Amino acid sequence: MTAGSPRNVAILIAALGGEGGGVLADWVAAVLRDAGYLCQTTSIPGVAQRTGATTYYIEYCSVPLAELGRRRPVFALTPVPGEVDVMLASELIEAARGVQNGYVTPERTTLIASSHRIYATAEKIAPGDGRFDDGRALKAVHELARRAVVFDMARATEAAGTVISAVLLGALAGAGALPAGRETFEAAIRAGGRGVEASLKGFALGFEAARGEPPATAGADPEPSGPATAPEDFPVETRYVVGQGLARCRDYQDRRHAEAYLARCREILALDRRLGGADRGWLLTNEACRFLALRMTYEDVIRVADLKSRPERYATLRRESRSGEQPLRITDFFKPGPEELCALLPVGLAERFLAALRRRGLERRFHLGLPLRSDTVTGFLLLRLVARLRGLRRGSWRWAQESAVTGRWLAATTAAAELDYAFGVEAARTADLVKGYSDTYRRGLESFDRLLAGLVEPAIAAGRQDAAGLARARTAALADPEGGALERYLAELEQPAAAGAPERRAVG
Amino acid sequence: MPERSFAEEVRQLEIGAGETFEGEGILAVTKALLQSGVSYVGGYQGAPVSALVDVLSDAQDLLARLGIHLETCANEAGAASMLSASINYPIRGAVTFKSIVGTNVASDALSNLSSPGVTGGALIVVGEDYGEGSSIIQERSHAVAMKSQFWLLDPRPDLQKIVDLVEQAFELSEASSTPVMMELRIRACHMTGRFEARDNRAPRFSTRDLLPGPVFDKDRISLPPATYVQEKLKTEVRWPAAQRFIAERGLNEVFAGEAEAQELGLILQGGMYNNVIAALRALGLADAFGNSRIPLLVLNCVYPLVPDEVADFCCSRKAVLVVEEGQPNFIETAVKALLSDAELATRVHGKDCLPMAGEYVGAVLLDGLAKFFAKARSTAVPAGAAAARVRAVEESRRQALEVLGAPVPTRPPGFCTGCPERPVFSAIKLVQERVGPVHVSADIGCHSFATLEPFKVGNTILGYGLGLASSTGLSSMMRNPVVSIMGDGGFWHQGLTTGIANHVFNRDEGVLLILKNGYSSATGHQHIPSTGSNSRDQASGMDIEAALKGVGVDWIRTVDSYRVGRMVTALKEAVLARGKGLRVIIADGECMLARQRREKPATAKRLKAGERVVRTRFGVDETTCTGDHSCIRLSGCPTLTVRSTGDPLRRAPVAHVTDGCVGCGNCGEVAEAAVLCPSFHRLEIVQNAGWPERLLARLRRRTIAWLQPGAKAGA
Repeated sequence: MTAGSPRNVAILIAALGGEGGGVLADWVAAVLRDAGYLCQTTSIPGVAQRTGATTYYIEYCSVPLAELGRRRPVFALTPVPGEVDVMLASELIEAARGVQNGYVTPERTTLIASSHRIYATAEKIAPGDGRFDDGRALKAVHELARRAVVFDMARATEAAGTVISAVLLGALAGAGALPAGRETFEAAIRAGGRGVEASLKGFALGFEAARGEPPATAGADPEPSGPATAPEDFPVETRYVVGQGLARCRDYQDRRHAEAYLARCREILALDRRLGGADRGWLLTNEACRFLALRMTYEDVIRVADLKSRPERYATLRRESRSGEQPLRITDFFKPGPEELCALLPVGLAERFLAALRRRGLERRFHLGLPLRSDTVTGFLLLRLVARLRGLRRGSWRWAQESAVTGRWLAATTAAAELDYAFGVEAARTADLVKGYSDTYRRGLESFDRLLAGLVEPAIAAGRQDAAGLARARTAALADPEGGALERYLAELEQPAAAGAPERRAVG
Repeated sequence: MPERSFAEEVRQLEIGAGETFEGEGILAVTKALLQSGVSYVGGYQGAPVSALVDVLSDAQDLLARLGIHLETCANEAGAASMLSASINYPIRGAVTFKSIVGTNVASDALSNLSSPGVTGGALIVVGEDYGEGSSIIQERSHAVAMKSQFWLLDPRPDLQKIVDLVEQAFELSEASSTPVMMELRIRACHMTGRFEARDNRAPRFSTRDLLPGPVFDKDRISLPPATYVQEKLKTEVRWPAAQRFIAERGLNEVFAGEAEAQELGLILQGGMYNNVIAALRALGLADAFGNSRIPLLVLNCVYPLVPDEVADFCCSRKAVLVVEEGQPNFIETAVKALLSDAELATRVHGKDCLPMAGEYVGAVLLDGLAKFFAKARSTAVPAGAAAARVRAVEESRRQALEVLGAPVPTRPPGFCTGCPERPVFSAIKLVQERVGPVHVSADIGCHSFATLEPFKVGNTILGYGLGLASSTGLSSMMRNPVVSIMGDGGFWHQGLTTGIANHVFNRDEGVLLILKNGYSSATGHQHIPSTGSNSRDQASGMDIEAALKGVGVDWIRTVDSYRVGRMVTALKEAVLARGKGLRVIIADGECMLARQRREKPATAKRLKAGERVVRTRFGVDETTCTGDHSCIRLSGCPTLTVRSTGDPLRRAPVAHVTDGCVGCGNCGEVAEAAVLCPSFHRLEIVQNAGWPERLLARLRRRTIAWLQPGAKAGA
């Protein structure tokens, strides 16, 4: 930077409350002061500090204090769009927010940010996938900054056992965005006093990464599991889904169950072929077979016990808790309700049991709380014992219930597809509403029933397609599962009383 | 144990003439109080001024040496009442609180202080929590100054200027017998900078040099007939005295600008100065040192205005812009009236160029200045270039939105990881499934966050400690009793009298949940009566339950905050106990931030010493999670998040607990109480375990591996 015409250099820091953004701002200020510059920091702590998005703002004068004589710069307290020289962000969306607000510009701003995501509440609470498109956020930070130093700093933070601020400071130093050398930065960390060694380690990782400028990759999605095979008569585009579904059904129950799945898939495929699915990338087959597999492997006590006692699970827990060779105690919380128990009982017995509960008004309140120590031999054997009850599944009340729902869903999907391809695909997707356990499951099932009885089946009976309306209704149900968004939506729809509409059937 | 330690800052308070103070704005104000010779200081915590009292609490030695009395007050009314000491006696005092909310609570005392006026200088330092990051309703303190006739300073954000003005404020107060308020915006309070220190001054009268004796002066009492005279004095004597002082001492500043730009001018609140300069700089109309081409009148004293100063500044100009943050636009209106009285034709712009409401940040000022230059049609300033600069900002934002596709998600504040208040709101959500919907009368504190996603619990917020009082109009018109919330901070602030005592007195029905986390947590963990000790670490021996019994509450239950199931049961019982008057549940759980701050170093020490330490954290089994996220909707914990699923047939991300988990157990409790899902598990990692425990664990692992179906014999 030239010492010719003095100008104020602006640094904006975006962080989440409680992350130590204040520490970072203090370090940056210490570096600048130590390097001989006048600077000012300001912030908006208060309750913004409690987990929300917060910013720190720093300005320094490009001419060292020694050369200023009696002149003193006037520093601003808030950034001006288009006037920010350096932006530091501890998380991808906070970096993107800086771009969105016009603080990061292609003409001026060096952006130093972590590419990892910490999801906002709004993204997490959606029952489906409410996450912001990371790809777009990455594109924005790379394309709209003068220079972008963006990599996954959370990983480096974890490796060094420090706070993300240390890695950000390292990246700032490595990017050479401030008029100070590495030693000055490290001195600032040392002067800070707490957790110095870990901070320096994190700083070094950030420094090196910024020097190498590794390309950032979009959020680390887990690798899809290995190839599962589907029979040759399925088109290539559908083999992955059908193969996975097949494997899942076999793992869930037995070969016979898998064959039943395959037979249904073939029926769906035949319909899809007749409707010209080849030109549509076999969307109907893919969506319907995907949900069919999920429907046919509904979660019950047997399944949960099976999955919770597998060797892979024990390995995962050891790895994720980083317990190494230390003793690890695992407590699982089971609280089966009436439906869960009826997953084991034959239809007749279950009906009587449920009726008895209903008479006593205990239907929703009957639960067995069973905390279980799965790391003990007894706990493990109990889980295996329940997993072995697989043989009782086929004759159980729950199996009958689930089969009825699946049958109804499949019939609606087929009939809807006959009317209109897109309508059929949307009908298949209604199965997404039925997931979770106990109350969540029950509510989902109610929404599913409401959607089929209130929209899909009347439309089919009247012979008109309503793919767009169905998509909107499903989105409403997913967006507000506990509230009444779906009811409100359906109430708004004027339903022409179609003659011969099937009567509303009760499910589960 | 407060959130921040002020050891270094206390050292800064000790420095004297010839030394340079470096630090935050609010601490500079604190130092300025000591340089002004105050005899007493008081306050009630709240962002952004908590640090003033907090730092002095850590400086007991210094205060003792100077003979200054420090009081951490019960509430803002208590703080403002302290200034009564300056009515009859020549002693200086300062109090501090957050505005507008604190000023509202203090307004009764402020009125009764302003009417008789003061002998010794009285200063009220308020932190304006307005705009970005604010946690309160958006109003101006200016209106309060106008109706009570005390003077309002709004200093230019420069530490030296702020410090000088604090000292001048006491002189102004004494010269005009009127209390003075200084408003500091949140960013100015937290702004760092430097100033040349002066020596601290020991007050003439203090805890060391006592006052000679009580003074009785009938003219200083707020009761008719004295009050009639006092009102006259305000306008006939004190007001002109203040204006004289402001003009003679040059409290307001004029920056001349360039010769070519004299037909324009800006009149601004002192606090707006730095941001106005930054906006002018962006338009190429000012340099790094604040030399503006446009002339400026900077009002460090925004009330009262001095008519001659304003008229002198405006008389030669075609148009001026009043930069006045907040509404109504008192200053703009006053300037227009002054110019009309002075028969000047200068056009006055203000809210026609700048927004009526909201914080004046850089972008807003940039836009407002460009509009002013366009309206003023002056040859001195290239209005077209300014408009182009604003369009460039709009263009870059438009471009960003195009690439992003949609606005990025907002991130409002929420409960911290492990917060003991979170499970209480999970319980309130769950109990409504049993007893039907209830109206929740919320309160001020961290718990206000419950009104946001994912809880959306709380139908109204009326003010600090007013949760219960604000339920009384409704309580007899609802099928279910109103459930009111109160933090322990609000309880002692005014909830005990305004809410609880009166509820009992009227035999009103209702349910009250007191969240007892041990501190005034949202403001930085200041001690309150039920913390157990005061800011000087003297035991308090005060207790919420004892206070409740003392005012006649019979139905009291104390429940551990983290036990969601028990809380649901207690709440249900309370809701259904009709005819039992006020039912109070105390949710007992220490603020997790405070607890971690205490326990983390202790745990580290024990680990180092080789002692057995159990680390607890929760987790979610990805294989059994169906991605419905109902657990998140009942928790909102920052460490309970989502990640992409490894399941090839599912699209929705699965729930996932990150490493930040402090093992409070809330998610497991909720999953259990709500009968949500069997995916949660608790992991306890035993560090430094003894050999028998290690052996047992190894045996268990081996046996389980051997018993696994498909395991080879001898695995």
